[in-house]
Amino acid sequence: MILFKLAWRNNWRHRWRSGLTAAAVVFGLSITIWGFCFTEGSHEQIIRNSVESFTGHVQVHRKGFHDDPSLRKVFYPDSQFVPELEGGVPGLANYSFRISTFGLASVGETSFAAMIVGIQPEREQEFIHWDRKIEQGRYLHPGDINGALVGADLAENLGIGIGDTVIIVTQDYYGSLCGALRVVRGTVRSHARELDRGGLLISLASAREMLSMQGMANTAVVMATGSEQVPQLISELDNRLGAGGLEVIGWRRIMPDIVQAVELDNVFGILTNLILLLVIGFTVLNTFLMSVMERIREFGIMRSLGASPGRVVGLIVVEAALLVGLGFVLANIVGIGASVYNSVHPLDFSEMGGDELSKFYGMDPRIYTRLTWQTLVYPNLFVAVVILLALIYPAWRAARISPAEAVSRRH
Amino acid sequence: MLADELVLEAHGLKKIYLSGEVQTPALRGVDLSLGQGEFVSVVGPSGCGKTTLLNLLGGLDRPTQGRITLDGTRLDLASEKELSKVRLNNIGFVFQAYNLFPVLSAAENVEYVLMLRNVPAAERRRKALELLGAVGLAGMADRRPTRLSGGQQQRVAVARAISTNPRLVLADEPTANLDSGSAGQLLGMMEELNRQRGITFLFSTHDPRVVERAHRVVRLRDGLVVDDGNGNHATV
Amino acid sequence: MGIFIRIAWRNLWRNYSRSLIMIGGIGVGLFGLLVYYGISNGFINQLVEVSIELELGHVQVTRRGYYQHPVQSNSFTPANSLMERIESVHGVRAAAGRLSAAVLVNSAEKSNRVDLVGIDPEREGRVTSIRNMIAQGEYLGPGQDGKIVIGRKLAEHLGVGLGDKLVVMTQDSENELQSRLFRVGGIFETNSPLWEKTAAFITLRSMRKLLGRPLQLTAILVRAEREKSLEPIVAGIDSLVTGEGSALEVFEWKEVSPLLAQSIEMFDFFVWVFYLIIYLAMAFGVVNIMLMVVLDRTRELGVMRAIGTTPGQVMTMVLLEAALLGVAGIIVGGGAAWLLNGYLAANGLDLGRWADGMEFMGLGSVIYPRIEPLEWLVSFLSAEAAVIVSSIWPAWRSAGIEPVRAIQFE
Ligand SMILES: Nc1ncnc2c1ncn2[C@@H]1O[C@H](COP(=O)(O)OP(=O)(O)OP(=O)(O)O)[C@@H](O)[C@H]1O
Ligand SMILES: [Mg+2]
Repeated sequence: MILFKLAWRNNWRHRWRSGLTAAAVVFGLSITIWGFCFTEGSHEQIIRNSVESFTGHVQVHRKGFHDDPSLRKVFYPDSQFVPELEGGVPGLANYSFRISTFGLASVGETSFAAMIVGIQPEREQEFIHWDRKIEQGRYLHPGDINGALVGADLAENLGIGIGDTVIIVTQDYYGSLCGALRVVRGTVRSHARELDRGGLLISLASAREMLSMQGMANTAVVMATGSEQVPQLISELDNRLGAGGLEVIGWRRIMPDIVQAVELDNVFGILTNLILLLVIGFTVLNTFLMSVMERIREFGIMRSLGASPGRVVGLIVVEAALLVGLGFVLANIVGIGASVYNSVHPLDFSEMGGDELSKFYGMDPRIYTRLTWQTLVYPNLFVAVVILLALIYPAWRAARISPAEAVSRRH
Repeated sequence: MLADELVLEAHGLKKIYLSGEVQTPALRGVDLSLGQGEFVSVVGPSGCGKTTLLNLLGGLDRPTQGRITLDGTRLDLASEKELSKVRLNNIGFVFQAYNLFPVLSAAENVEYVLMLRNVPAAERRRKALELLGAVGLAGMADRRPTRLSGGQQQRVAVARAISTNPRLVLADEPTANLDSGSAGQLLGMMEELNRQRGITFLFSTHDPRVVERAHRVVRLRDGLVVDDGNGNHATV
Repeated sequence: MGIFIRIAWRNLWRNYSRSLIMIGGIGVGLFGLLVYYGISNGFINQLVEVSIELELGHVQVTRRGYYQHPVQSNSFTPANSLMERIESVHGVRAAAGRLSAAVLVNSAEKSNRVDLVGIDPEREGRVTSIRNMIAQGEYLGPGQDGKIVIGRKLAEHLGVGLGDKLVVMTQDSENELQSRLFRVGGIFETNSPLWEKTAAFITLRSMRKLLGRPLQLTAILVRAEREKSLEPIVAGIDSLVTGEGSALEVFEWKEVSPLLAQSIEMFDFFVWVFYLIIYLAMAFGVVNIMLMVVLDRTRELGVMRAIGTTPGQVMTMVLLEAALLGVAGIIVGGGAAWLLNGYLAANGLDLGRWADGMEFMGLGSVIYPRIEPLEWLVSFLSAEAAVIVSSIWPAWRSAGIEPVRAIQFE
């Protein structure tokens, strides 16, 4: 207890210095916490947008399709997929089948190459909620063989309107040229880049007819009950479907680009925050080294009165702990407070003219911060390590003070 | 001696220190006049107000009440800036603890003040060496204070104090940290400068051997002048 | 002044561990800032370079509204000798016409959407660097109307190699479906995977034939002598084409690509925020240390005041000391950053581990950090300014030290 009192008074003796040091810790740590929450929020958004609005948590294809896609690599859902799932699969929320291919589409005078996706409108509505992503017009009605939806950016670029007729030309299952006429019912903004910029959605039934692929599909989109269930769902599906020549892949493999971009962004985020924390670390180092140096006499006297070096170091450490502990508490209050605030009131980059950029990354220009245990633990851990590093030298220096040195040095 | 020409005149000086609720009257109405070329010592028991008096006369601190006129300038009314100027041009200080700048050599310590007065660099150096010669430190111009003895440091301090040709040098217990040999040498040197250059010296001391050398002795007790020496009596 | 600098300088060595810590803090901060800046700049430069070198040139002439609706029907027929007249505008090095359309390209088994560009091989070679990017096969020659040049990624995706057949499908000016066979004549490689996947080139003549637009262009790309100050060139060309019935408009590359402009803006913003945060973090250290300097030297500064030094001079001295420490920190941090940046600029920073991620961001996986001389200078000066500004408060306190402090016993 007396140690604490002593430590507290020593900190108080240098109010300014102690205050500035604690403030530096608060500044560095709260910014880092908020920064991590911001990054986490934007990453989660990119991934969720992509998973929930187009790719699904898990996809199933014929083996080999993922690495080298071709229209001929198909499977028959009714015999190869549905029966295997009988009895229910733990963690599986929903699924539907798709056929995707590329084709040439033309509306009036303009033609464009499009990613054509045949979807099951009713089934996908249940988990992709397409109707919420309609920017203009409406979603495909059940049984609407003639309807099509166009990516919002594509529609904007080419001036496609609701009710326009699209002529689709592509190669069918057998490699011969085929074509069909569809009517644009609506435009979709999904935040999935490839869809918004070049996608054409039609019903699975109409895709099968156009491509001569009765009863076939090349993709099953599967939704898990929650993102935590994905790994378990993958292995369960793999058990049931693998033997039938199907391949089950999770969203991490479906979109390695996004996963990696997120990872890379994390690396940069950690490095930049580390620089900030190192700069703060020098302030901490200075404060403690000075507090040792100016008390060489005092410590020397403590030593000559019989205190062990450990005792002296202990005093320094307790002093540091008091000061920095205060900084940690305040920093977490500020950092968490700001993050929680921005998780309700997002940062809006659209005013900064970030809309093209956010479209490019498949994001909403409003970014919500997201507080998780990682975004809290890692910053605190980093700061703790930096401060410990900053304490090593002062503590070592204090331990080496001898009574003789204290007397010979006049301050 | 031009004792009739006054360098400094103080009237009814009072200084009350406030520390919280407690009032400490350090000076309780001091009158003092110093003529050109005087060599005066202020003596008295510890706590009688010697340091306080010298601080006020040198414009380092302000009186609670009273007037101080130095070379026609009213120090009690002067602004901070004017005081800086007076201290630079009209007064030299010698401190008990020498107070040389440890990062500067002996010559540079002297040059520092000359630099403040915008003396050109070459001139500064020449003058500093000359002054160090005058205080008997010709060979030690380039030593840092840590490599000089106490007496030598104090002589550098004297050289620094007189470098601007001040009318008045104030020295608060200049010999307190010196052995008696060094103290005698320092006094001799100050006397010499007083005689040759006509600089007025006012120094406080406890040391009777130093008091002996003064031409006039002002005795303080409990913040009041009890004897002004040499018949130049202050009217009480 | 000289003696003040001397005092400040010598004071640095009185407590060298404290000085070293301050230099370290400033150095680490500046080092981090510069390295981050160099890499960010490398990202941006790559985006810009790819855009300018492959896609946009420095200045474009298009039909009005083309970039809102980049479709082949938004093409125009250039007046006779327009190209030559553009090239005679001061500051213009070369100009080349293009006719582009989004088409479907089919190999034996697969198809993909591609931005097919008809180029005048000889002129294009002077405006963009596609010619220099050919890794296999050859660039289009003037008569090679049956050849197509595609990117490495596209070739892999379609499963084709040199000499293989590709069928291009598109709609022509009469809204008729056209499909034509080409042979892969060259494969290019760039630092932009996105571009490598989506762009392909044929001769302008065969493109015009394919689309049934015998005289049209969708864009004229202009290369300037120097990248900076494109406004006069835009104005010069603008005055040329207003005579064209004002159906044309002239743009700088930045205006054409809002995505690029916003990327630059966003990077700039983040860099700015990072600088601000680091300078603030440095400020805590500088204030802390300079305050200690001042408190340690209260007596000495009191003496200075006593013997006639003005508060302003005391303040100057403290600021000078901080400034010197700042310079030392800048030398250390800036020097280290200069070495690392130089090394990475020469050898490239290989982020191949995240190649797909870089592609997602529209980038190749090797980044060449770049910091212009002026940017070095601005960073150094701003760091020094940050140090000095942070020291103002401690210096201000030092100026307030009373001269009686010199006499008071400690
Ligand atoms: N800053 C201060 N605050 C409060 N009281 C003070 C202060 N400085 C001096 N005093 C008081 O004023 C009185 C005169 O002090 P002063 O230092 O002038 O005495 P002195 O004659 O110089 O003594 P000494 O011979 O011990 O140096 C003393 O009672 C002292 O305690
Ligand atoms: Mg005294």
